[in-house]
Amino acid sequence: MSAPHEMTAGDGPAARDSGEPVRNVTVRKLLRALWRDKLMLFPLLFLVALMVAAVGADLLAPHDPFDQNLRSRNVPPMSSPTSETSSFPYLLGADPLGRDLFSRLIYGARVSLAVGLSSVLASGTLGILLGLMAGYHRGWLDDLVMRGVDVLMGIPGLLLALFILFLVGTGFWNLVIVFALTRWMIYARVTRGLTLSFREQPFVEGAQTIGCSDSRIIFRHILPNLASPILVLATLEIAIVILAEAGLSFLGMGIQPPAPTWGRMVAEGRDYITSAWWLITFPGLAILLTALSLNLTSAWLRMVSDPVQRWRWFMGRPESRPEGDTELATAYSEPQSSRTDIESSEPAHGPAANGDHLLEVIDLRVNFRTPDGLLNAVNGISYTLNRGQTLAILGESGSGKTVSAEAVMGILDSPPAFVTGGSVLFDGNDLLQVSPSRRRRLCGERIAMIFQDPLTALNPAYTVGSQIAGMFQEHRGTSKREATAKAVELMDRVRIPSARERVHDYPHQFSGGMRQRVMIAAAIALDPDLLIADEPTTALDVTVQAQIMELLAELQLETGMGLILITHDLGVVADVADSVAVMYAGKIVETGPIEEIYSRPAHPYTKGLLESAPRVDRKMDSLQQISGAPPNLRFIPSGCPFHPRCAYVVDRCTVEPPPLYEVRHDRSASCHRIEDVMNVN
Amino acid sequence: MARYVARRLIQSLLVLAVVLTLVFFAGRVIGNPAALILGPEARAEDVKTLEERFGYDKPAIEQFGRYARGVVSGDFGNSWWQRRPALPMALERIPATLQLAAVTMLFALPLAMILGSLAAWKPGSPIDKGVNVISLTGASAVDFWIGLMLILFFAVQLRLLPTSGSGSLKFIILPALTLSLRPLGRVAQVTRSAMLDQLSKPYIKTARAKGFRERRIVLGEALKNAFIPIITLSGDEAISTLNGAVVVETVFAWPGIGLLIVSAVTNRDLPLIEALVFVVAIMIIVTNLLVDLTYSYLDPRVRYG
Ligand code: SF4
Repeated sequence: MSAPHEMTAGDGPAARDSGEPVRNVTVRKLLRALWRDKLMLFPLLFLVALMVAAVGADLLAPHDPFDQNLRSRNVPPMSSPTSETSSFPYLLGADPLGRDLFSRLIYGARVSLAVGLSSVLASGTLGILLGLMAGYHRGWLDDLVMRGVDVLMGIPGLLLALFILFLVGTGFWNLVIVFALTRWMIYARVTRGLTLSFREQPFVEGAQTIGCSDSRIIFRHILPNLASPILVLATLEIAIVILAEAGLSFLGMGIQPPAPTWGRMVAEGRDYITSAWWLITFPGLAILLTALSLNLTSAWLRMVSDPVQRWRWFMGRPESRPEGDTELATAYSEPQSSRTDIESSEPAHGPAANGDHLLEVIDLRVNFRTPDGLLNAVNGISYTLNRGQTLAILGESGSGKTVSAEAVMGILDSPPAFVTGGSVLFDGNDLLQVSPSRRRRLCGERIAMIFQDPLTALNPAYTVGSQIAGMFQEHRGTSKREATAKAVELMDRVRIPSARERVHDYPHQFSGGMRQRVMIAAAIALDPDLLIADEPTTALDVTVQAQIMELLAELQLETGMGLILITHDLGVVADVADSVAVMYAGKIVETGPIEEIYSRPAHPYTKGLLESAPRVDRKMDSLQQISGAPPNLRFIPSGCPFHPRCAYVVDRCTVEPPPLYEVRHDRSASCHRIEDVMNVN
Repeated sequence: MARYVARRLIQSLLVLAVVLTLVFFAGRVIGNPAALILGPEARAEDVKTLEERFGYDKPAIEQFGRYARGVVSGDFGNSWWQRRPALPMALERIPATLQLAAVTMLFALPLAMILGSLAAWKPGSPIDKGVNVISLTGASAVDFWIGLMLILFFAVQLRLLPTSGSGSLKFIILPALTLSLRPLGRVAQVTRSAMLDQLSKPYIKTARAKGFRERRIVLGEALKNAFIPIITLSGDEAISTLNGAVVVETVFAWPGIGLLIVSAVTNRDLPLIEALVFVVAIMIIVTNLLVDLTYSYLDPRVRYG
């Protein structure tokens, strides 16, 4: 279950060209992958053995496959032969005509592989050519080919094959033609899709501008890049064709006697099923093992050629149960314990000093375990929130603001995210210590959360009414009718017009602002004590933004719930928030009452954020951006993490991490030059 | 909705007409019907006499006119093999095949969806690996052989179930089991990936924030959205059971369409084949229509004009 090593391995031959995708399988890559997945040796060796057997059947078969010997009719496996030509035992027994089963199996491999390989070659060539033409030239040709693909894909292949064979008769080449005609579609579809996507890419467009002919572009630039996916596909198709050939043989429509085929061997053994089990068992096993080996190889090749696939395969969907994995997580938390805590002085909030805080987050830490290593998303943040208060958590994307909120909520995607330390005291209880089921019941009931994009955050398959009503049904066991009635009330309360009529509408039938109102209605359904709003207005129109903020403020006033507003835009929350915590690189760099910070920021980053936001009291032309980009969380800069972007940076900043200094009794900032920053204005 | 169904029906009828025309010309142009009846070893003058007797020597257009008139009135001519009208022969086999397909799908689909969902819920878990093995087995399954091995084990060795034929419920177990291997693996695999896709969507986070139970999140929230790809594939798989039915019905002597197809092919019975193509085409069209209807029922965003 190793993570992909060659995410960026660029050893493909295509690397020379400008930006050509490098996803092709090379021999080196294959060998390396084989070394890692040693179990793959079995199917690969089986296939090699099969090929050797097919090619060298004349030398390898201990008996003549056609040599009838009536004295050894249906003899069981390992019998000694009665024939004069060979003294080799009948390894797998003999058939009703006294022919050696093992030798016939070896010759049968020849038929199966020959039909499989030739057919795949034929259908592949046909499909790839049609797909290339359709994808490259598009237009009517594309329509025609894709229509053909759709129609043929909708017809059961074996029936079509039977019909054609019925008309043209059986035989090797007829079989190959039948498979070419009935199995080209998948290649055409894949090739066309890839060609369409390559067409738009620089390396093809570049070739076009320098005047390469179409055929040159197709064969030199597009075709080589198809190699891996086609290889994967072709391996799979060989298995399908071999299975189909066996089926046709079994029905008597395959290659005709006397040539031994696996399918017909099973059919011939049918009459002796009670007396000679080996007659059907071994040929069937041969088909099964061949198909299985080919399928395994195909799946393996796909993983080797596309490491992301492998990663996805093993990791799959991120899960959201961080509690279950805390043991694992703590094993990864050395960075935290081995570090001297710089926020040890916690001036603004005496830790756990009083129980009347609604929410108290102390030294919360979250790590992401990714294939590329550990990522410190939240590096020990602390804040408190009282009932009826609003805290704005401000930061750019990647600052850890959303991750920390999800950690509080207990809905982190784990893996890859794990809470590695700290505590989240909600009403005095540490949420990180309570059982998952208790925590789940708190969610929605006492802590609620709304999200950035209400369209994707609502389930498209349910009516808005049922998504609100679900809260009552899940937590209170309310009947559906009653819950729907309550949903209508709530929709009224968040001022969705004609709630009664719209309760049975689906999310896609609402506007963005109305959808967010639906989200809010569901969130406040059970009168939570705390509402976390993660960028609640970012996805909305400017005019709607203010209405949503107003609604939130109003609801808070009515219910007295605590509100955490996560945003990257201080302007949005300025009117509603009581205090603000500014996050940078997973830490709180400044915190305090909003007016204070708004008028006199103490941290250069806050100052930058304020200056980059349009404000009524400042002329638009003085609007400026903070230069540089937020740090890569895997390589957080030494000293003060903000120093590469800071206008106030001094030598000390690059080595010594600034602690969270108390600016006033209720304000703090983590900067070595607080005085200078505050006094520059 | 009604308009959509009507449009699809008209489209389907057109496709059907095209298919039947193709089949007719394939039968007369690629193959020579008289030669088909008599087999490869027939003498030329015998072929000629037969051609004259059945009118196969007439111009193709004239023959086609007769054929088309016949098809419209449901007359595909007499089966050469059984010497009775071909269409009723084909039609009377439908219930047996439908029964087999229904039992197969009713067994395979729910099981596949549950397994696939569980696999997606905990990737890398034993269930996930099990789903992998099942779908790999399904993709590699040699259906006729598996059927025979099941007969060998359950019917011959244990004497629990009948070897072949039809009648009581007991007869359907082994064929349906054989037939369900492939759809089971394929649908489980598609369910897994569709569910992985859905479980990473933001609305799942919402559901967690709402404090919903995992079972409700996986089966209620995500699965309902994953249904679209699953239903699409299930429709395809239902159609492909016809492939499997040909082989499995032969193995178990199950008197369905598949067995008749094999008989028609081995007896070189052109009218019967034509009637069977007609019946199979209708079965496919109806299945596709059902899939389409299921879509619009499941996905509120699908609105037909
Ligand atoms: S500590 Fe230095 S680098 Fe960091 S914000 Fe303050 S002045 Fe800038």
